[in-house]
Amino acid sequence: MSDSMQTLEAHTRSEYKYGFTTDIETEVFPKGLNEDIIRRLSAKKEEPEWLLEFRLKAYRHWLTLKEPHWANVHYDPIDYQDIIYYASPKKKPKYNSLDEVDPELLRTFERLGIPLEEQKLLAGVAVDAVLDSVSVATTYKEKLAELGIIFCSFSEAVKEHPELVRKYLGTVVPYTDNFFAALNSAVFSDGSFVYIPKGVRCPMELSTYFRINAANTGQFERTLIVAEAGSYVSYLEGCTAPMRDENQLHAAVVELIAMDDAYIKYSTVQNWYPGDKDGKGGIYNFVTKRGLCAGKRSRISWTQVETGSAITWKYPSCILKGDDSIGEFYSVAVTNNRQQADTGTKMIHIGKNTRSTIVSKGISAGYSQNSYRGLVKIGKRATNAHNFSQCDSLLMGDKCGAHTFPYLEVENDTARVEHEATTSKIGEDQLFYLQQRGLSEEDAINMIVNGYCKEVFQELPMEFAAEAQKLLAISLEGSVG
Amino acid sequence: MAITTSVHTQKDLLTHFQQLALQMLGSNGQQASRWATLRRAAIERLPAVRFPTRRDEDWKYTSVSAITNETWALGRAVPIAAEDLSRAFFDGLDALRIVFVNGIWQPELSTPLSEWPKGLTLQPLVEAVDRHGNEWVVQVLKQRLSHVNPFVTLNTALSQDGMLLQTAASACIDLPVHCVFIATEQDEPFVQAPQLFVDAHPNSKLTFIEHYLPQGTAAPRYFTCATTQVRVAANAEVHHYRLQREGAWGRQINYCAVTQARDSRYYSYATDLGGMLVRNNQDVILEASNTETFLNGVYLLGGEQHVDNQTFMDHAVPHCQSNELYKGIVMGKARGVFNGKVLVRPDAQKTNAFQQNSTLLLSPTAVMDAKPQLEIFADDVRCSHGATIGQLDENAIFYLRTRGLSEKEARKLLQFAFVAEVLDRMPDEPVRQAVCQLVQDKLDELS
Repeated sequence: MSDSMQTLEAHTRSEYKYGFTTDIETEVFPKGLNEDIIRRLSAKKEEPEWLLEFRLKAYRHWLTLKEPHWANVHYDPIDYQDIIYYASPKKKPKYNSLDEVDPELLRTFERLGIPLEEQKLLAGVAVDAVLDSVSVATTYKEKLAELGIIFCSFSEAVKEHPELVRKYLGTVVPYTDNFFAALNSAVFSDGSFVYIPKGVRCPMELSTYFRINAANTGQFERTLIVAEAGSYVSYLEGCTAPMRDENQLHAAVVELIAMDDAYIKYSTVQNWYPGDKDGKGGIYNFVTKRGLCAGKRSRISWTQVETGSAITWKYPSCILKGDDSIGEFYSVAVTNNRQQADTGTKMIHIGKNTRSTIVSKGISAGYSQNSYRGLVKIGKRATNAHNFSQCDSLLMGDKCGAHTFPYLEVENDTARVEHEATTSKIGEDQLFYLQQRGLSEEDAINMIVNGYCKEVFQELPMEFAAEAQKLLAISLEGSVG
Repeated sequence: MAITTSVHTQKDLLTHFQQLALQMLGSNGQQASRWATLRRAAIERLPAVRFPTRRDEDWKYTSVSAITNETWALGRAVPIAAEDLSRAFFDGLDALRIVFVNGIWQPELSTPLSEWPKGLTLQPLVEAVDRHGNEWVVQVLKQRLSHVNPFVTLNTALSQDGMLLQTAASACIDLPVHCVFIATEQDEPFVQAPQLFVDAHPNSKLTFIEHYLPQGTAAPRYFTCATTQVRVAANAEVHHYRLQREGAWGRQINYCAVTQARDSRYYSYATDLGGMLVRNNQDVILEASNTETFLNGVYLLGGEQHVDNQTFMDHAVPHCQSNELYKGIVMGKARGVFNGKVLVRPDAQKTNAFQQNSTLLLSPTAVMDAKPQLEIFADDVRCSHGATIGQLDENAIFYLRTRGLSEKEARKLLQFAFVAEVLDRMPDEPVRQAVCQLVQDKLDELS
């Protein structure tokens, strides 16, 4: 067996490093989904009547839908009646300072690498940590409030700012959008709400760490970000999940709305439990993310680093409705062992002079399957639209697969659409060159892979970029082809 | 014999097709033969096939309602004038001719079999199966019975004539074989379903041309449901031209499957100029290593034309090369579709696959849908694809205008140059010149 094969063997055996569970008493609903559960959930969260109506309408619509199976992923059927739709830490805490927070929780965050105490000192990062379904700690809120920025949990937003939530909820991703969006609309438990007033530049990165905790709990997050005219916000989403064997479903919905001249930057590092090396367990990540560039010269930028989840199925999209608006999608998707990813984006050009950029870097190792699926649509009235797409795949191992399914639909003769894709493995000559300069094979591969992903990493906020590189190294340790 | 019941549902249409096919089979009076058995099997399958809708992923951009909403008769052999035939042939090209009129082989218009060169034989499929026991043809027709594309089954059921072209081993055939498929005006819309089988034996070389056109400049109402099967044996080389100039009303659904044995070379040059609704399926299956495949395509569309090119490169074995280049210009209210799929199977290491699709979209009402697709299951490969949709470079137009060209001339020159990259790959000079002239004519017509 060659050296590289041995390194491969050694590293693909490496275990998930964030696998642990927190023992906190949780209040859980019985398994299953029906109108009573939704009413109970809504009552529990003290929601207004209109929101309950929204949920019920979504649920009734969901019942008429069939689970879609067009994606290039395979999994056992999901029993939607075998999922707990609500779980919360039992003691519903109201904290004034971090000292009051359950120490067990704090320890969890520390192990995740989010020392909340230090977060306060770390300039520019406010954390809205979501443990299971209820927000338990929020910092920097006051500082943001001075600027008129609202950054809170979704349930809080429903109570405090119902008019905003009601105005925008479901406007970008209607509950009729797809099977999982309908399910989410019916049962979403919590999430984040961000509102940036006119002309305000959010002075810090807003960040949420998601964590799936209680066993058997599907997590249905709902994120809504509204950026008023001339505002700017950078939002970070990062996740790790405890190790367990049962497959867990995650069907989140993220809606972004950017008004005139507004700029929303949404970054994700996703590192949920991918299942063990035989593909047992792991998170099913079926997410609907969509941004609406509603205003002129607005801009929405998605950056994602996807290393986790047994199955990833997400297409962060931009609807470029405002004239001169810009949509961007930068993605690194890594699959190893038996992971499956079907991810990409949709750029829907509606307004004039709209521009979009897609840079997708797929890395497959082990027995994994990694697909890029993207749509670029230039509508009839989208004069002078311009798109550039680049989808590269790197194969590390001869048992994995890399696939690209780009769709280009152009209905306007002033459009410029460019798409290019390549699939290859790490060049022997590149490896040889670095090794003869004294780098170990492992380091050489890390360097090449990091260089390959650089275009995407440099779009990430700095703290995140470091974390992303670390994740990449862990996910691919030794996957030498 | 015409059956003129009006067709409304898909089921009606299939029953109607089945009746047509059975009549034809009956009139040939060969019920007991092997050929008839194969035909009958396809005819029996007809009611079970389902025509695709735009909900089917492979037909996402192409609706076949222009075919399924029509009532079709069968093509009839009619005499054809010499001047109509001359349109079908190229100046300066010495070729062996095979002429079909409305889907029926016309031996008297074709090169007499006695004049065919040594090392090349031509047989009607029915003879190849029943008299010569050609197992390859039988096997292909059997496989086609369960083909996912319903028009392949329809072709077997409705075909009135098919030809088998065979080279002998190590025969290098200098003369190209020019197959002409002419459609004439009939009282009612009709189907022609020609079949062409090309078998290039080891170490042989063959060039053949498929040429579809209507009689005269009329716009007869017809539907060409054609299939082509090519087998390139070890170390053989095949050049395959397909020139599609169907009439303004014409519909064509065309399925071409190619299999390549070791060290073989297959080059295709497809040019789509005509037709109202055209769908081309080109499948290439690599069965052994060290092959080379070039798929070249040009499409020029205007008016309300709809042309859909589907290509499928199946890299099933290691050490193969494929190179695909499709370029086109879409104007008027036309719609162009390109779906190029490259599949690299797990063992196909050292594959080198390239694909490029570029389109000029030159009118506000024209539409182009491109779907280049890579599915890669092997790691030591080099695969890339590119797709662009855009316009002419205004700087280049400006440059040409400073050199004294009118804007119209400048645009035409650049448009021609755009597709000439593909046309230049045609190795047979008389064919290339004829196709270039037709492309120029079409550009004149469109601009």
